[in-house]
Amino acid sequence: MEKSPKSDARTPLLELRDLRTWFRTDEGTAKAVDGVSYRIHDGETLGVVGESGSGKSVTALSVMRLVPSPPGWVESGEILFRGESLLAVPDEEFRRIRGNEIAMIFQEPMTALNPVYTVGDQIMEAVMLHRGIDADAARVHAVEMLRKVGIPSPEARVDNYPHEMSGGMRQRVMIAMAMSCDPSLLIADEPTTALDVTIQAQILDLIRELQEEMGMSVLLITHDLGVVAETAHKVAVMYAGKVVEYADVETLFGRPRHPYTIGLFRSLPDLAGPGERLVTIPGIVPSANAFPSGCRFRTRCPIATDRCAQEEPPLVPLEAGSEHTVACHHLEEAEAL
Amino acid sequence: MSTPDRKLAAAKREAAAPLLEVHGLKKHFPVRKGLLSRVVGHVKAVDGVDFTVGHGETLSLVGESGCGKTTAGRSLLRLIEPTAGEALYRATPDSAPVDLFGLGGRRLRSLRRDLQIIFQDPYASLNPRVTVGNAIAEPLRVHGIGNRGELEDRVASLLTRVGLRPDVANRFPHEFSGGQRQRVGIARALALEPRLIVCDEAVSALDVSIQAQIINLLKDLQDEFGLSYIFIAHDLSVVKYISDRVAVMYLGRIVETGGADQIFDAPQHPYTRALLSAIPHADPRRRAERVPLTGEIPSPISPPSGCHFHTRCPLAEDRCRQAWPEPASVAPGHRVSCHPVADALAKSAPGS
Ligand SMILES: Nc1ncnc2c1ncn2[C@@H]1O[C@H](COP(=O)(O)OP(=O)(O)OP(=O)(O)O)[C@@H](O)[C@H]1O
Ligand SMILES: Nc1ncnc2c1ncn2[C@@H]1O[C@H](COP(=O)(O)OP(=O)(O)OP(=O)(O)O)[C@@H](O)[C@H]1O
Ligand code: SF4
Ligand SMILES: [Mg+2]
Ligand SMILES: [Mg+2]
Repeated sequence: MEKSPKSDARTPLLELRDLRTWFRTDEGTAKAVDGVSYRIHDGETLGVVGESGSGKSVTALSVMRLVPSPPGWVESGEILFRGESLLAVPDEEFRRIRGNEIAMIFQEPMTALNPVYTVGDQIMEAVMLHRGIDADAARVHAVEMLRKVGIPSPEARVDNYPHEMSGGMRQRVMIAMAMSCDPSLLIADEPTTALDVTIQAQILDLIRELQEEMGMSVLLITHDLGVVAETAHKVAVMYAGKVVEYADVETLFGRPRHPYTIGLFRSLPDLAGPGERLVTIPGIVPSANAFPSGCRFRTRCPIATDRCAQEEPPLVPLEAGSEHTVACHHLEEAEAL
Repeated sequence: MSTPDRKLAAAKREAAAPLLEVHGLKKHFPVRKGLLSRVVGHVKAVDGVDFTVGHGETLSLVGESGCGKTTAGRSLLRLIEPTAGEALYRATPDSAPVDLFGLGGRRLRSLRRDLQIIFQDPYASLNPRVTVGNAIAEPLRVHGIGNRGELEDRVASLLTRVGLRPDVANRFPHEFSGGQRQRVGIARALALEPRLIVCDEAVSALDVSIQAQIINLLKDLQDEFGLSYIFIAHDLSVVKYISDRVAVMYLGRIVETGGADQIFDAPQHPYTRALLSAIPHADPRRRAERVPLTGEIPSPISPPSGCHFHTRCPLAEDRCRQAWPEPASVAPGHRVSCHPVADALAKSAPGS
């Protein structure tokens, strides 16, 4: 299927500006998201990749206003939806936006599905709420959505409880729930991790179809670089609560520039021969309670210098006017990595 | 290990008695309906599978979502009761085999030490009210291993091995990201130094660099202690890298088994071919040539007659609708269950 990036100077559908979402923990404040900026235009897919624990999910939960509070809160920054601040919207109005305008597929389906209701009841509830249709119509719709996401015998499966389904089926139920409301923005947090590659391909095609039909935008969080390559128009790479690199997908995959991004690509098992050890990024991810000074990647970066410990590298365009942005002091040295 | 070393190890393994020999494993779940919960049918989640796992070997189970991989893994460990079959287990190549499915009570509990699982959905398998340190220490306590200080040290070293900082031990599961939680599950499975670990999507929630770290760790433990793995994963590039052998499942049955290179370089079954062609590549310029799978996925409640795959198979013939194809040999160690493929093999075989 054709990808059609439609980025331009129009107001982005979603824009994050220097967003910070922090948690209170026993060991102090965990700065899970600590200055994240990115934008998504209409009909565009932004892939977000990066270190486990770097704040990808918490960023998404912040947009959905689902960060558990306490212990979490949005410390500062802006979340703009169609140019308007979401943070300022009262709870009640926000509930209407969530579901109708923005829907989310969660990383762990069991956390989002209620174990005591059948999956049909849960999809029906979502569509009745958001489309104002009656129970019979909602049931027909629920069966249809289950069919669309590739669940066999949907007429029977609609009465299953979540625990009666396989991991991948639960994931698809959640996708069906999110899609039922025709959102303008779909936030998909590892939507296909639990799915085999054939169904993964089917789900990604379904997402693309909806995107073409309805101009839906997608925020796609995944560590599967293959999925990003095939689906995303733009890519943001996160490390330790920040975006360290951003570019369109061809540029980022063709020539990654940040030392972390370079290391990430090198860890792909496709590149290792049989019996060869996989390449890893040495060292341990810093704690969100105590990020290193300066560049947060410096404790694991092969080319770090004193300057990296002192100054935090800003996320800036590679050259004036370029859409490709990178946060690293030593781009030239990184070329040699 | 270098390639010749691995080949040698594989040859040795084939000669020795395996760690696990599974015959005719079935797990059927009753389907209930109505107020009286009458049983109206069965989900044939696993419907007669055979496989072996050698000492120090990694066998991967791959296949469509819902084809029964998790159910097979959980039945082996008796986390759910299998409907039929036997699973002969030998702690060492020389020990007498015991049937895991025939064991009861105390014997089963003591064997559980040897057999561990890393769960697909870490959130569902960790108690939200127990700190991760206690979750990891729990199996050690149950088996009466170590005093308090020793337990703490052991937990700290396990956390470090899976790439987490030891000071996270007193945090609760909800304070972790998805991938961090997955690693807690891995640390817990490693705690008892088992002989076999069922890794159910164990690395799928991890970014590729941490994934690489965990895979290296699993390999190191295998080289050091001769651990065996049943590796369930959807990411086929990981499967290709980590497996000695691969079994491809479709709707409760194994349709093809072979060495990892045999399956990936010379797949025979039409389902295996479709599966491999769907792998997404980390290269936006490379659009995969897909072998599309058409048709609806059939239900394990009423699987198609004959070969379960016939409703979606490009090669299907009349007899595929009538009889299940018995496995045919492609090459030593490589077997495929498909009527037309078996015929083609027989024709091309020398001497026929
Ligand atoms: N409720 C919480 N209390 C304290 N810390 C939290 C909480 N939720 C998340 N965190 C911390 O916030 C950080 C970011 O978590 P997040 O879930 O966003 O990571 P992620 O990038 O989605 O990782 P993964 O790829 O593993 O899913 C992690 O270090 C995590 O430990
Ligand atoms: N407790 C249960 N009760 C009823 N049916 C079940 C139960 N557990 C699993 N099943 C069914 O058994 C079949 C196999 O499920 P299983 O979880 O083993 O699949 P899987 O191959 O692991 O799939 P995935 O890749 O999606 O995790 C599915 O049809 C599922 O709905
Ligand atoms: S700023 Fe310094 S430490 Fe950070 S990535 Fe660049 S070279 Fe490495
Ligand atoms: Mg996450
Ligand atoms: Mg499973």
